[in-house]
Amino acid sequence: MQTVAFKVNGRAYSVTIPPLKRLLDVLREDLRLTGVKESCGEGECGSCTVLLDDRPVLACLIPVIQIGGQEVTTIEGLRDDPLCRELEQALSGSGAVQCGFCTPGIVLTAWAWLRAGGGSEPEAIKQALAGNLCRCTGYVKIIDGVQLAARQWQAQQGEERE
Amino acid sequence: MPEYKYVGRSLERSDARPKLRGEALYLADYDCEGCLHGFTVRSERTHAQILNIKFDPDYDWSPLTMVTARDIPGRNINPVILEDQPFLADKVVRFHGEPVLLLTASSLELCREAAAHIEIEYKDLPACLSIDASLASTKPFFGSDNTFETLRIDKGDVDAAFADKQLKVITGRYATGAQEQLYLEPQAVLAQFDAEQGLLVTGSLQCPVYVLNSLRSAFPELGDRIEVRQSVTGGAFGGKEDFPSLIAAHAALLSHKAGRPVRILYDREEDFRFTTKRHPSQTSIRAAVDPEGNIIALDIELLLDAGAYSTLSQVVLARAVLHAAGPYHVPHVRIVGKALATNLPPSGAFRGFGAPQAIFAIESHVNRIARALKQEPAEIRRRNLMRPGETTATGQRIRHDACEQVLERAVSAGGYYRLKREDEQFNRQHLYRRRGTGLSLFYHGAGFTGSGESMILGKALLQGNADGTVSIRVTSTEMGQGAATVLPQIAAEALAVSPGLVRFETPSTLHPDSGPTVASRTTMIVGRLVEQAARAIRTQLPAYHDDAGFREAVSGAVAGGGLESVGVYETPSDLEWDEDAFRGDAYPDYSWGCYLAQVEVNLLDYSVQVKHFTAVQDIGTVVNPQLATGQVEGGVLQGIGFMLYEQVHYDAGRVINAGFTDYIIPTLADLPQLQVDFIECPSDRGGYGAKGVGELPLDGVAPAIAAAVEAATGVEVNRVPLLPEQLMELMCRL
Repeated sequence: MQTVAFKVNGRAYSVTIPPLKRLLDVLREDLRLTGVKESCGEGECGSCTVLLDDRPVLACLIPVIQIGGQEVTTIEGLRDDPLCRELEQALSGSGAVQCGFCTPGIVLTAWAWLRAGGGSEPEAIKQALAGNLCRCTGYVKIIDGVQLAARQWQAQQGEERE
Repeated sequence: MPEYKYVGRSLERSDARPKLRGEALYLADYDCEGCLHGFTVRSERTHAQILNIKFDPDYDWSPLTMVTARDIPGRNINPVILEDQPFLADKVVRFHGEPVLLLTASSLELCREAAAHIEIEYKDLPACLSIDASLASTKPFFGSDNTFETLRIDKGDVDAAFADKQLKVITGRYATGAQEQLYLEPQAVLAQFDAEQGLLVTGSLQCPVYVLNSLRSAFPELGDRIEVRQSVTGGAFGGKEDFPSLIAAHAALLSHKAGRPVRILYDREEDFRFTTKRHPSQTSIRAAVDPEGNIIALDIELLLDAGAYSTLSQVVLARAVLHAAGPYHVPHVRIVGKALATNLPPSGAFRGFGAPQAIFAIESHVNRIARALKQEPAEIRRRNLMRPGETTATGQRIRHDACEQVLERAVSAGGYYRLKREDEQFNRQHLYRRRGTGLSLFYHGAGFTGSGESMILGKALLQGNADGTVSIRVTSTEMGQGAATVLPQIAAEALAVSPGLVRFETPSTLHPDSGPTVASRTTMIVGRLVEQAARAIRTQLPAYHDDAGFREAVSGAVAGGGLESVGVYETPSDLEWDEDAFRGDAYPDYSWGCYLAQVEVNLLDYSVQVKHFTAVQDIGTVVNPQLATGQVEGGVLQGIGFMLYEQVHYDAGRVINAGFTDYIIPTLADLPQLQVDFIECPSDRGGYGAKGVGELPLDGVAPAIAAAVEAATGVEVNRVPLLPEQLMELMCRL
């Protein structure tokens, strides 16, 4: 057992825990943040995407010992975030959600991409999201949704600067 | 087309927001304090007698509860169709991974640890691991010849046609492989047994009533005290049609014995290795063709690898043979289909349900005919396609010109001839890259096969609520495809109120049985039941002119004694099906598709990339265009995976690539430029004229891509999948 201190969704935690316990299990079991999903369990599908210091990572591959001192953001932590609301609106309106199991991971990856200045160019969006697998949608509407959110977000940012 | 207010509009999904916000609770997300974990101990042999099961006497078994075949209160039979599959293997195991006994404890780790203290002694039996081995077996393990089902279709006089010396005979053999559904949420079920209240099972599943039937088989004494409810389901594609019945019974048996709620959550590896997959197939086709290119006769043998137990194989085979002659008017047809037993994990339902296998074979064969006659593939299809009044292999008369329409639209809107010219130019300019364009033409029988709908007699209940809304209560499930949005949309149209006033209640076996959520039947068949029930509700209410008036009328009716209506399936009087002769109207109606693919083959590494894809289909009235387009786009990507990437590898009957690392599904990087187009030939047999859309998109993808690869390279592609190593082999033999 080892004590690890980190932040999740802005709140500080210090947990005494087996050091190799997967971040995914810590989030789902210990903190009951079930918006993060397990699908493949081997770092291929992206369903367990969370943000580590605002960068998308796969929670199934990260032993909790690695995240000491860092800040984790899950989908629950972005529910009131304006960019996330924009993504929700755009993805829902574009028909980007079917079974929904990959969806929180897609939202987080797209959020990080747009937050880091990613634009609305479809090829670049494809690159950014290529690690998030979806078996339902055929991806077209996911790209549409992220593209729409990117445009809305850029427009809003522009207005705020003016 | 009539003017509708809600039908034909892309209403936003009712379940999108909770899913986007991570608020939707899938079964693994339930707060399950006090639940036990269920674990399955499985066969390590492919085919063997169980001689003995030994439990380590020095191990402390007290924290565990164990269930073997002997602990089942009722029948040890998972009743699907043939009743050949036990819930738990008793004296014999027929495939690697077959459940032998069940454990439950407060943690999965404890179950795993305990399982290591169980030793099963086996005596190996000879195993059949392929269709050919099953056919050749001298010691069949099912019946007299390892055949779960044989089906035969006869039309005209095939032998006479093949005896005609004027006709050219063209033969071919085609094979398709297993495909894993790979829904992102693995199988999950929760059973709560209570001696007083009975049994409640909640799970990620497509067909609550199928699960109920299995639970009744295991627990006959519970009678009506069993309820099955659906949890939010993270994809299914057929993989949660028959399989959940098995693990629901497992969880229930454990809960019954332990007296505590028990949850079974498969992890990806367990799910991949031991759940059902698409049936592998082998098809031989002989065609007799006149000099102009008219197909005069088809003689087809289609074999399915059903695996160790029959599950739904009989119905999968029925759909396969009913699609085997393609959308062509052929005067003389003989189709013989067999579903064969092998010692591989049981095959089961997967989107398309036998049709993708059959359509790959016939469409590839039509291309072979075109090559033999030096005809253009689109031209030979134009010549042979089914027109109104012409009949299918079972004699069903076609009522629309949809087949011709989809072909013409795909050729024109998809730019078929332009793409082919561009390919030629591209191929002259490039040293090691080759482009080719191909197309496929196909139908998908909409609704249940044969008299299925008449046997189920689906029902849909609409009920008024005190708050002035109405609820839809059915057993049809939302698994991602959009039923929870489309069914209220249909009700709203019939009631002339906002869709927000119609609630889709969590599917449960306490609701009237609207049938399973399979066979592309929900929008079409259940949609029509909902439409009927809603129209009947309207007649029960005083006149209303807006949402507020409606709410008032509903509240009033509910206060005055209740408001409800049940829509019940009525077999159209002109549908006739003879199950014994396999003749007549095989489906209530047909959806049609013409798909066009342009690929680029890299001759250095034999990789194939789909550059452009046009999907034109007739699904009748398009009730929700955005959802329908989403079905097509998703189906096309699954079809690309089926054709180019997805191969299940076995080693002596064991699945060895059980995960996303070694089993490759399409990602965003594999997405072609994708164009989706609908033609609307409404059906009088579907809700507001809708026909099926769920499965159709997977049917036509593989043959279109195969044709494009053939055009690009000159090889004949007669197998699915076609991975680079297999294309290399074909090209080296050229």
